[in-house]
Amino acid sequence: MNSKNTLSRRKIMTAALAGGASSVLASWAMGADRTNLPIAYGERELSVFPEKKPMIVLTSRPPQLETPFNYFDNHVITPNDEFFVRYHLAGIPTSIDPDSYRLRVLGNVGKPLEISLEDLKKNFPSQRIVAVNQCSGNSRGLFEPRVNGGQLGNGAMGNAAWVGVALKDILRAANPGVGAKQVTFDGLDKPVLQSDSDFVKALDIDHAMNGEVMVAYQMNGADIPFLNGYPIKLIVPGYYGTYWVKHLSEIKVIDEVYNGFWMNPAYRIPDNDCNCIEPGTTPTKTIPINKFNVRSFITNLTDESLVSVGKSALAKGIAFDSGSGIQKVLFSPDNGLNWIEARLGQDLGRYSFREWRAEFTPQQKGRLELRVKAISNAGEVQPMTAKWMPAGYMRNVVETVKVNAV
Amino acid sequence: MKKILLFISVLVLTSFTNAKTIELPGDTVLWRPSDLPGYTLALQKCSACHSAHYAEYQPPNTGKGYWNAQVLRMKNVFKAPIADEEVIGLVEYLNATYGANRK
Repeated sequence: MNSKNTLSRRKIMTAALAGGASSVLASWAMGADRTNLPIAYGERELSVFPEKKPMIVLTSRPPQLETPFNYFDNHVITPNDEFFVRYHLAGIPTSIDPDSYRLRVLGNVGKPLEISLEDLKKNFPSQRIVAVNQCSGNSRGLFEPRVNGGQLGNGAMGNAAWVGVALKDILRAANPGVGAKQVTFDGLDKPVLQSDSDFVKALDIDHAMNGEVMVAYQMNGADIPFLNGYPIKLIVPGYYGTYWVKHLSEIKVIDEVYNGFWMNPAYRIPDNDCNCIEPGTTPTKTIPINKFNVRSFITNLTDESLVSVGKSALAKGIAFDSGSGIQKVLFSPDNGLNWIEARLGQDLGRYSFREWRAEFTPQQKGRLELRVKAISNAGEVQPMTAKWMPAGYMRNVVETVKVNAV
Repeated sequence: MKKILLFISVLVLTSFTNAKTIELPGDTVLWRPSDLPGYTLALQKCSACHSAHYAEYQPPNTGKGYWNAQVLRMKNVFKAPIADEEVIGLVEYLNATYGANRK
């Protein structure tokens, strides 16, 4: 897509907003441009950014955009224009020429490479995966006690079909040398001021060579949206979004453990079985954040929803984990007293959102606390009480939606 | 002169024909005004790199320790041109305006 198309698309989106033409956009089309997360200081702007529908603005500079949660009820594959955006540094590119774009592979390699987008698409085998990307700090705003950092609700996640090249094939072409220990990834985004804080992430060489980590050039059948990393992005299935480097421009094979700011001290979790500590304390030992834990959500009902006593109601939503796949989803219509097994939807792959549905019949008037709990094929179960860590990562407590039975 | 301009515009058009370009909206949340001297500093030093959202949404249990750590982080890690004697002023403004003291 060239710049002209981008602009015309923005105009079209603006027109749709003004006319309330789309059902998804309708609720925001009445001139409403604000929403509230259910937390103190939870008022947020809803704004249109390039190639995006109205999104919750966590920060405008650099852009950090959260997907309004109601969008998740519409599709199991998150459309490109609804996918969350997370940048760290405001020195982001605003114009990228795909013809002159190069991905450099260097460091401890026998054959340093400069790969054009055309090379990448023509000279390497392509592969496709449906995989969830989730921000490490998704749901941070819901921590109790509250923790500092980006105050996100549950919308910093998305599920997309990615097409690209296995990182293993790129690295093999470059031929990593003896002693290679890690691979670092850098994108075009830069610190505003000159410093050592460029956003660079690292994976162990074995992980980088596992065949699943890939360099994607397509998202849901189209170019990757600019703000999601156009023209190429690192895909690390099952791992938190911090590793999914956008506008990927440099891959470097190194002989040591990379220790830059964004690997240490940033993006660390407590090094213990639960990756959690007592609220208010500080972890004694930390490791880099890595795989997702298991999560599930109700997407079609909110605390504002009404259900009818004596009539069957439908609850539906999504579940995912770090790649073992979802074994089952349990749904409770009575705040965890009774659990029924939900029906699972189509399996789009073990790294994908998995849809689920369950019916329930409210027995009496008043508040009903609906709860949903996923169990992964690896046997991991969502906890009933939230775990805590000071960085506010990895929230995965069993969610509750309080509907009103009338 | 016209010829030069024409040449430049042709050059620009041919060089960037395939470039994908975006325009980002301006900051929508601004620094909360204050009589404290740190307000002027925030407009200069903090705004150079990011919008005021970063402070605006910090939770009500945010105290001075957090603001101090952030200002030092911006100074030391991201090389914000904050002089040692400006740190206290910035922290005072942030602490009096956001987090626990946000109105």
